[in-house]
Amino acid sequence: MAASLPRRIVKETQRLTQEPAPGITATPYEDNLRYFNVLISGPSESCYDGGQFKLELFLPADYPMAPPKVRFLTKIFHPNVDKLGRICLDILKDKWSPALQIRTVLLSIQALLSAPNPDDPLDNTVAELWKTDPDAAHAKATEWTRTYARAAA
Amino acid sequence: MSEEEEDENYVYSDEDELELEEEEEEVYAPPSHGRASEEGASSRGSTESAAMGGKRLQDGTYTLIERSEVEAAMLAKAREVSELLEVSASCAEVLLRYTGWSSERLMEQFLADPEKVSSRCGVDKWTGGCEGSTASSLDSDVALPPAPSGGLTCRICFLEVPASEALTAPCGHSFCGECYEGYLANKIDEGSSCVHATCPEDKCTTLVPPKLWQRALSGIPDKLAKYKTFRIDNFITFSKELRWCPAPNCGKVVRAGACVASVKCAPGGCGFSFCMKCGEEAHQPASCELVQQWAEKCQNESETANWILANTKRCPKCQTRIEKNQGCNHMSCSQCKHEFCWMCMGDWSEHGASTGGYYKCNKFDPLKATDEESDSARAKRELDRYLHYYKRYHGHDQAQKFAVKQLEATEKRMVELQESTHGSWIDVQFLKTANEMVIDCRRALKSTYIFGYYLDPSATKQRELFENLQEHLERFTETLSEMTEQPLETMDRTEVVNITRVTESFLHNLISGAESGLDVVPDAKDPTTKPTVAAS
Ligand SMILES: [Zn+2]
Ligand SMILES: [Zn+2]
Ligand SMILES: [Zn+2]
Ligand SMILES: [Zn+2]
Ligand SMILES: [Zn+2]
Ligand SMILES: [Zn+2]
Repeated sequence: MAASLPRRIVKETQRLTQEPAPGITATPYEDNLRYFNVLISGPSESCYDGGQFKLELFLPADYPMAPPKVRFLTKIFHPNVDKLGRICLDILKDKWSPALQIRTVLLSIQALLSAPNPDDPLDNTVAELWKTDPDAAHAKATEWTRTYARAAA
Repeated sequence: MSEEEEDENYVYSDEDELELEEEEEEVYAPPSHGRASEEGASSRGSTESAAMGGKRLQDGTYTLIERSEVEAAMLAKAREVSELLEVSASCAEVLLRYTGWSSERLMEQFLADPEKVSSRCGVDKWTGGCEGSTASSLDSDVALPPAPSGGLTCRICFLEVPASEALTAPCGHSFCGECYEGYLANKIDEGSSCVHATCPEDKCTTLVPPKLWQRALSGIPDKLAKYKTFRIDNFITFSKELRWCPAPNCGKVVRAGACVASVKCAPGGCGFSFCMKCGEEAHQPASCELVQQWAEKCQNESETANWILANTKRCPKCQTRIEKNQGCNHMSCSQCKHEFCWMCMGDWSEHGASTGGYYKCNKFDPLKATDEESDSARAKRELDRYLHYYKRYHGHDQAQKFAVKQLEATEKRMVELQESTHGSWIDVQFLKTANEMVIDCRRALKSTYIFGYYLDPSATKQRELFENLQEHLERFTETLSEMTEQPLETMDRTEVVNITRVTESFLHNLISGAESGLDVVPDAKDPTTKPTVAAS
C-alpha cells in the first residue's frame, strides 16, 4: 500500500509532521497512510478554549481531485457539526480545489471553531439556539468542551 | 452556498428562438399532437428572432433534428452574440448559459454592467475577440498565456515540471498537464455541471476555456466528446424549443414551434410521444402537475393496487384465470364463453347499445357518504375511489402496450393484405393509421383517469360532461381496437377508415373540451362536429 502512495501525499505527510501548524497535529496510521489521526486545540477566546478535539481524516482514492473526508470524533456543540461529527464546510464539498491541502483543511476547521456560522447550519437545533439565545449556546459549548474535550495532560 | 446565491440570478427564458438554417424541412404535425398551449403562445416574444433574422418554426408544428444541427444552431447563436458584444464566441457561449440562452436578457444585463457579468461568469480574464472564432469551431478562440519559462512546481502533484508540460488558464495559474487531465476528467464524471468547471486553483473563479479542455484531454478523446455533449445538453435544456426524445436509446432531438404541448418522435424517430414541457410520455388532457401527483400516488398505493389487480383476473362466472392477451377490453372466457368487460368485470352485454347504455364502466358511483361515516369507512371509500381510477388507468396502459406491440404485426398484415388484394401500399396504410390511432387513444384515455381522479368532486356538471366525452372515446377506441385485431378476410377497409376518423374526432373533442375547462356543449349524436365553446 505504501508503495503506491502518491508523491503528493508523502510530501504533505512529511510537512505536516516536520512543520506542524500551531494547535494542530495530524499523524497517519502506520497500517494505512491515507488515514490520519488529528488533534485540534480549541482556539483561545472561543467557547472551545482549552479543549482538545479528536478528528479522523481520510484521503479517498481520487484525492486530491476529491476532497479529504474529515469528521469530529470528540463530541462538540457547534452549529456546523452534526451529531455524527460531520462538518459543514464549503471547501470539503463544492468549493474544494486540488490546490488545497490537508493543512489548509485543518486550518479552516480550526477557524470554524473560532467563528461558527449558524446561518449555514448542519445541526438545526444547535443553530437555532445559537441564533435565539447566543449566551446559552456559548455556555453549553463551553460546558461540552469541559466535559468531552478535556486535554489529556 | 455561494453557487446557490448565483443561481437566483439565472433567468431562464421562454423567449428565445433558434436560428436554424431551414431548408424546407419536413414539418410534422399529427392531429393529436402539436396542439395549442395558451401559455406558450403568449410568452414567446418575436422581437428577438426578428432582430436576429432567425427563422422560427410555425406555431403548432415541430420537426426532428440531428445532433449536428443542434450544435450548429448553438454555434450560430454564440457567434451572433459574440459579434454584438465583441467577445469571443466561446465567451459568448458561457455568457449565454448564464441567462439560460436568452440573448435578449444577456444584452440587457451585459450592456448594463459588462465587468460584473463577466466576472460572475468567470470569463473576465479571458482574452480574444470575436474575430478569433472560426466558422467551424468555437474551441480555439481564447488565448492561453504561456507557462513560466523556467517551469514550475505543480501545486497538485508537487512535482517539478518544465514549461512545455504545463498548462495555464487565462488567469495565469499553471498546473502540470497530467494533473489538468485528471482534474477535468474528474469534472466530466461529476456530470453536466462540468461546463462550469473553474481553474483548479483555490478560490480562482476563472472558467476553463474550451481550448484548455481540448489541450488537457487530448489523450482521452471520449472524455472530450462528453464535454461537448454536456455543452449541447445545456443548450437543449434551456431552449424551450428543443427536447431530447426521452425514450431509451433514441437520442433524437425534437424542435417545436410555439404552442406545441406534446410531440411524437417521428418521422425518422422512435415514435414515442412525449410532453415538451415535462418530458414525460404525452399526457393530455391531464396537466404535467397532475401526472406527477398521480405517479406519486400510485407509488404509495402500488401494493394494494397490485393485490387487487392480481385477484381480479378471473372470469367472473367460472373463475377460470384469464390472461388478457389482446388490446380490447371486450373479454370472452375460453372456458364458459362468458363475455365481460375487463375494466369493470361486468357483463359485456350491459355495455352494449342493445341495453340502452354504452360503456358505463367509466363512472365511479360511490355509496352516498353520510356524516356519521366512520374513519375506516371513509378510508375504504377513498381507496375504492382510487382503485376505480387506477384499474382503468392500468387497463388502458396495458392495452396501449399491446397496441404498440401489435404495430409490428400490423406491418406484416399490411404486406399480406396488399398481396391478397393486389392493391397499392397506400391502400393498406389504413391498417397502420388505425393501429396508431388506438395507441393515441389509449394514451389519452390513461390520462383521462388521472384528470378524472383529480377533477373537483363538487363540479357535477363538468364531471358529467367529461365522463360523457370519455365514454364516447372509450366506446370508439374499443370498437376500433377490436376491428384492428380482426382477421384480414373479414376486414372492411371503408369501415375501419370511417371508425378511425370518428375516433380521431372524439379524441379531439375530449382534449379540447378538457382544456377549455369543460365549458363546452358537445354534440353526442354527431361525433364529427366539434364541440361548441360556450360563451363565457
Ligand atoms: Zn501536477
Ligand atoms: Zn486560476
Ligand atoms: Zn425517439
Ligand atoms: Zn408534461
Ligand atoms: Zn368463464
Ligand atoms: Zn366495463
